[in-house]
Amino acid sequence: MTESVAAAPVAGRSPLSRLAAVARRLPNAELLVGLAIIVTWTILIAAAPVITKFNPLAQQIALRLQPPSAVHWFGTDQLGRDVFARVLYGGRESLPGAICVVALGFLVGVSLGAVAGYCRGIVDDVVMRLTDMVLAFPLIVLAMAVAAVLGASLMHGIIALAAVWWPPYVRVCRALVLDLSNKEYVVASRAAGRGSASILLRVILPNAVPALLVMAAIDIGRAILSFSILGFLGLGAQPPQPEWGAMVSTGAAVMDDWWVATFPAIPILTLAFAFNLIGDSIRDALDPWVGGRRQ
Amino acid sequence: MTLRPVDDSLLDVRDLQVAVGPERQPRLVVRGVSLLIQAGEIFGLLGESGSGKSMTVQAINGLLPPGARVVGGSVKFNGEELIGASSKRLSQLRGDRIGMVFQDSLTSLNPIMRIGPQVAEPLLLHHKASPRRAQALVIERLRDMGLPDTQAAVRRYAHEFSGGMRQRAAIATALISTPQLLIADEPTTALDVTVQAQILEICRRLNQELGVAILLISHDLGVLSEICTTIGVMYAGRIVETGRAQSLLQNPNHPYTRALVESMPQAGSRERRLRAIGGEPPSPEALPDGCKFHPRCAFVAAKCIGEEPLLAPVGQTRSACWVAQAGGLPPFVATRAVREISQAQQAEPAQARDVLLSATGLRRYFSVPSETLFGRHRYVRAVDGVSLELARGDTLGIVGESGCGKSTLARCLLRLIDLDAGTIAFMGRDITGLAGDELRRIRCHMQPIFQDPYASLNPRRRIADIVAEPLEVNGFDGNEISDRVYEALGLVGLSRSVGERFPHQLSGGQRQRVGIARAIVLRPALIVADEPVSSLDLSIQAQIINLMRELQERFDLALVFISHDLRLVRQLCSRIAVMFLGKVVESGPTEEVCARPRHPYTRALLASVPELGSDREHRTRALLAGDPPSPISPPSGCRFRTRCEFVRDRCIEVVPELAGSGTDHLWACHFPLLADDATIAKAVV
Repeated sequence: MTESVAAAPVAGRSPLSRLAAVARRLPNAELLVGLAIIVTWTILIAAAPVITKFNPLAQQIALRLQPPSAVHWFGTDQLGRDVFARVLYGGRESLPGAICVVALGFLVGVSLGAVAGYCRGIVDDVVMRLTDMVLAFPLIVLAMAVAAVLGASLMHGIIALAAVWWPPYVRVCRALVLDLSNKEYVVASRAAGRGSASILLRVILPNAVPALLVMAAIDIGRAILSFSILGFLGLGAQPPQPEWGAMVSTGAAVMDDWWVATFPAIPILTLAFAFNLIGDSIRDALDPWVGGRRQ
Repeated sequence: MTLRPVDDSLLDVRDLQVAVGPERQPRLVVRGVSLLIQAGEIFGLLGESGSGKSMTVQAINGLLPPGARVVGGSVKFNGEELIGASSKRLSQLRGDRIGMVFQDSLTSLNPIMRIGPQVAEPLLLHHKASPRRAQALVIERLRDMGLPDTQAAVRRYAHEFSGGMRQRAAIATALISTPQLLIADEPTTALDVTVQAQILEICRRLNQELGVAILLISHDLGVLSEICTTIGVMYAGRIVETGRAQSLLQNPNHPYTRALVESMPQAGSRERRLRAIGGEPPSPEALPDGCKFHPRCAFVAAKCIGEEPLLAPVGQTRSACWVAQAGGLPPFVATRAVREISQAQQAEPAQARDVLLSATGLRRYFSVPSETLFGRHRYVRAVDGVSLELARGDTLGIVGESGCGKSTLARCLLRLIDLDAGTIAFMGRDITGLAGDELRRIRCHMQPIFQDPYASLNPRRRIADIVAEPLEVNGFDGNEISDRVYEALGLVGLSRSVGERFPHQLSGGQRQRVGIARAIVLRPALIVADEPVSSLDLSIQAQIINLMRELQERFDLALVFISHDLRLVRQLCSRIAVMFLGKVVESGPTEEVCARPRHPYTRALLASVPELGSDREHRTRALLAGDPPSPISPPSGCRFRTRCEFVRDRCIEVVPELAGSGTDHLWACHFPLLADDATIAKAVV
């Protein structure tokens, strides 16, 4: 008798709220968009030889600075190289490079942070002061210094960025571990007779990692950007190897010919955006309380 | 339905329906609630979590959370319809004519606003009062609330107050413009019993002095029975029984109310089992057909399954039960009949059996940052010289208010945190200095049960893995692990399929069963349970307490049961220790301590516990004033002296030691109350 609700007047049936209702029913639109962008770029980069017949290194001085056309889809640069081919091949440096930087930073940072947060005391002090020292430098300046000392190359660029990438992970991981150490289920594991190392690795870390993964996913976008900045400054991949940041940098010299700088900027922008979206949805999906769906 | 008088009704709610969820498949969480509050009345709304009681009051004052909406019914306040009223009109009424008090005073007070302006806010908003006049009124109102040093208090912030003081300030805010109705949603749930008793006392006084009608929401029948004139019992989104408090409590006419009254642990009795209601409250997604209580009902008839009953007069109350309406319920026999267990029977096991756990002079301080930059380090004296002893298979209850160090003590006993001083002997050997593998081996014999069933289970592991953890890390092999895991799950009344689930898929009661299964899976000799039922609903509490008692007897477990709830400790434990600020102030056999408390604090605790049909006059006199002092700087001499009505010079100078008169009933008081119960009131004057 009271179950017949459908006929009752309900407030707030605007088109906007309907749209919102539709969006809620989709299986996580953010994740889909993010994944679509990343998959598209990955396929383009991997299948570069099939998609374009141009060699990214082949110079045609006669055809320098051609605007986009049916032959050269993204135009050509100052040396007459096909920008489309260079954007595709350039991803082979930038994307794996960025992922490596984040992975290395994640590993180092999470290990140090976990140990600091779990052991506390003197270990904590030493690790955290070290972290503070690195954090005190502007990130990109320090990376530039490291890259300059090591000498400019792609591998050194990765190492240089990784060397400054870990401190935020230490901070966040330590805070999470400190918090989780006081959780009753961690105390319960201790009471069950689990050893310290096992508690850290098997109980605390699995509960801390999801939040850190979110941070890492968002970070990949940032790493692509930083990688591009190093490239832009000439400290990453070396010419004539194509790299997105370096391409934007050389393109910036000829701003009238907009296509040289704009097209390599598009993958940087869209990938950074996509990884941010994925980071958000990972957090929701991995939260056991939210259960992957918001009410 | 009978006709109701309209003239003096203050709040008239009729057939209120609230739905949540998507518009296409709404779920009704409030399914037609009607209630009538007269001016100057105290109406108690009782319900377990998920019964829709909070949604009901939120709908009344137009504060429903996003996603919830009123889909039917009416709410009339002074004859004015509130459903569909403009939000401007509702804002005018809220804070002015209708005051609100919430459960969590820490989040309901604005942390960056001083208390004074905050309490005055409704006055300034609704009456454009001058700040000076408002200030004067605020101080007066805070003084009414029993807040000490009100002149200074108005300049403070919420975090500088204790929980009890915050709740007083919150009530003062709700009452500053003298509303006609005060809505209090679980106002005392987060407070200690002695403070709860004070707050309830304030509510009653305000009701009498200012004539404010109060709508009090609670899950605790004891709290409602303390001050309410009328009670409505909610179950699965409906009121299933309502009537005058007296008649409803003494002669309930709905099986659910009866079960609730029966599952209240009675102060006077120590029955072997609590009357528990089987099963769990239905979730709004999967309501049963017919009467929503029928799957848990002992009197279920054919009609109950097919059709949902409406409220109709039965006896002196109105009950929504087919059986009761047809006169089919047997007369209610209050099960309070005290079935005392003979003293001899109780005392025997404690004496005859060997000591399992013995702790001497336990001390644990926590350092806190000093207040000033170069100040000295300060210490919270969480556990400060506690000694206790527990025989094999015996039960010891530790009672005290929050901050008295009982949880720290539990962790010390389990060697989960290190001691600053003292020794612990367990199973005949000193375990104080054990570490590493040796400690782990001894821990197999002592297991904890935790308070919060949400926080004590690893959210990323399946139930079977959680229960298996103690076995795994202690090197049992695969087959034996799964046998024992399923045996343990069976023992705590969970089916095998639960093992495949994750903690968040279980209800609170089920989770606590998992916690118990994990504790018994190693067959320990000792279980330390820290507030194991305090976050559970009343009907579930009784189930868990019964389960613990069953297992304790079956496996001859020694049990340390830590709780703020004296009723439960009394029910379950043969011995009791009362803690105050890190020290044990009284200990002994439960019946002896409860019947003849010698320490004033024990007596105050006993008096603060809300009970059905208790003698109010006697109790009011024994209520404690104020809040517990800070464990950082405890008072000199007897730590209880600042709250003690019998304090003398000697209490300020000399720390009382635990002592007794030959028996094992010990107390730490220079001027103990007389053993003769009748003379307590005029003991030391």
